[in-house]
Amino acid sequence: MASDFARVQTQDRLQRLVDCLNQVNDSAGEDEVHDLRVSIRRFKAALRVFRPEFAPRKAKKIRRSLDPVMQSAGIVRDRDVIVKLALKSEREPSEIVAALREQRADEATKLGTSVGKLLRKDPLGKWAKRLGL
Amino acid sequence: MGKKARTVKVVKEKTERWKESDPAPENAARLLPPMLAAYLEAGRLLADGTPTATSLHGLRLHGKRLRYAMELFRPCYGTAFETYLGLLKDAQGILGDLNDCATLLRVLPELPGPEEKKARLKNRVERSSAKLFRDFQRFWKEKMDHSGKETRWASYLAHPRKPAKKGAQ
Repeated sequence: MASDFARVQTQDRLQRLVDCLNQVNDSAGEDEVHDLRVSIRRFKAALRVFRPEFAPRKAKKIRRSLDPVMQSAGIVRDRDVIVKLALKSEREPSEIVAALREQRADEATKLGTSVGKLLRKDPLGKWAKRLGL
Repeated sequence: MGKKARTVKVVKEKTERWKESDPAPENAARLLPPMLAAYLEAGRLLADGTPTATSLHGLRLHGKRLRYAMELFRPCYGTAFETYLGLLKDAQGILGDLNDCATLLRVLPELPGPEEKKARLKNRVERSSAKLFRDFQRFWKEKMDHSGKETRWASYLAHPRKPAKKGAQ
């Protein structure tokens, strides 16, 4: 069982992560994807900082299971920021922006699949139990 | 940035371990100052040189790890904590904008569209990137790394001012 401080901080980040997963599952908009990436990083930071509090293999498995979502969300996020930058620099939508938007839509579909898969694992219940939160 | 850009190896963080037997403020005082020192040292190297986009992105990731670790210990500190966190966020903001430019420049060749238009866009983004790097250098020297700043910041993190409230041991 993790100490109180580590437990409260980690549980808080896990709860936020699950909220963000649910938001992206509903709609993978720019803000939702950004918030999801930040929530994953914050949760992983808690696992890293409080590492001695958790069973190493269980924590590693949890961290790894977030990788596909993080990778997919990263590609979507990249497309979001470069569309903005291209629009700012080009002043008018172009073939470049249209291609980026198309790529973004494809990647958002992949992200939705990864998120759905992860949510079916009941991260809040199962992971909290595995980490002793 | 540009022809003379070179990869600057970001200083490896010295990682102290969380001790279950110690209260959170003691852990914060032991863990955070070395992380801060490594981050500031890495930033100093980059601000003084001509780093590649990869090196700058490395510093950004380094900053994220520091920021999220600091946030975990927020209950252990007072109001000045937010000022330091704000500085970190501002530095991360500039590095984020620089990374956006680098990302666009990386994917641009693979995108469809007239080459002329792509070349024009590349040129504009490269100019923005160069300006952002100057902003980064100025910000780093004036806000992050001016005389005594590191010492004050490290000393602040080494001395949590109030006992942790919620969830403290």
